[in-house]
Amino acid sequence: MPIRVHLDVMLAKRDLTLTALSQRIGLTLANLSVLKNGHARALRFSTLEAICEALQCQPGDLLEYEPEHD
Amino acid sequence: MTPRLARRPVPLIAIEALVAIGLVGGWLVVGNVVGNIVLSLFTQHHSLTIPVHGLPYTTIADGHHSLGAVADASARLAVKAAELRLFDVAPVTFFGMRLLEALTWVTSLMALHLLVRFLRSTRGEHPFSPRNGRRCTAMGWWLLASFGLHATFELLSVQFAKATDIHAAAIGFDPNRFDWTTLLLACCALTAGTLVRYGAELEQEQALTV
Repeated sequence: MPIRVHLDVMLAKRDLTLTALSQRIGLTLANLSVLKNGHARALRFSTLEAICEALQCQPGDLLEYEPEHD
Repeated sequence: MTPRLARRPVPLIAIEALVAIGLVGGWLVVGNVVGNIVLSLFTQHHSLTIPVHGLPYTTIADGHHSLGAVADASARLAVKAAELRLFDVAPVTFFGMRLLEALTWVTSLMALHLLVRFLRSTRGEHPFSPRNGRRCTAMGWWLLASFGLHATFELLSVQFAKATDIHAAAIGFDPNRFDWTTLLLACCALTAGTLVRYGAELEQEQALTV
């Protein structure tokens, strides 16, 4: 998928663990892992909003479009 | 590196076309069965009988010519009734066939019930949304069960007709001719299978939505 998720980078910058983020925003650890590892097919605006609020960042800091090369 | 999870998605228009064909086919089959029952009740109520191979059984005497395909369905039902009631069929076979027919109806009604819930559950969304994946799969399995039972019933009926050597030329029944019901059932089974497969895809998409 050409959309890359930089959740691990943002977590490292904020010195947070995935478990801590999961507790802060009320999303299951399993779902956050799916997002962090790039397995997610879709992302709700409500989830994006909660993550941006918890990590004090913009959606662009979390997501990046990278065209696929054959 | 991001793992590649998604297979090539089935085009939605293809799914919708298949479902439309399946639903039309399904309603034709249901109409056929309902027509059979209504005509059977009618003929039983009016005690219309004709002799075939020296044995009397209930049907519309020359309805095959006057009522066309619908009467033909009635004639086929009459042949089935004759096989099961008048000829030497073991009671276990008779009740087995009735049980099979009842199961066919139960599964058909369950599938119809799920279809209504499926269409009403979306609140303006497209019915094939990831949220509806589980319902889509369940509906597909019930439809498959229903059509499978229906096809088994049809096949057994034809086998009985062959085994008892009733060709009933007088009322136009030939167990060896091409049966359109089989083709309709095949279309319906294809639709049901597609629903199961697409439902599983939607379920996966829903599971990977965060």
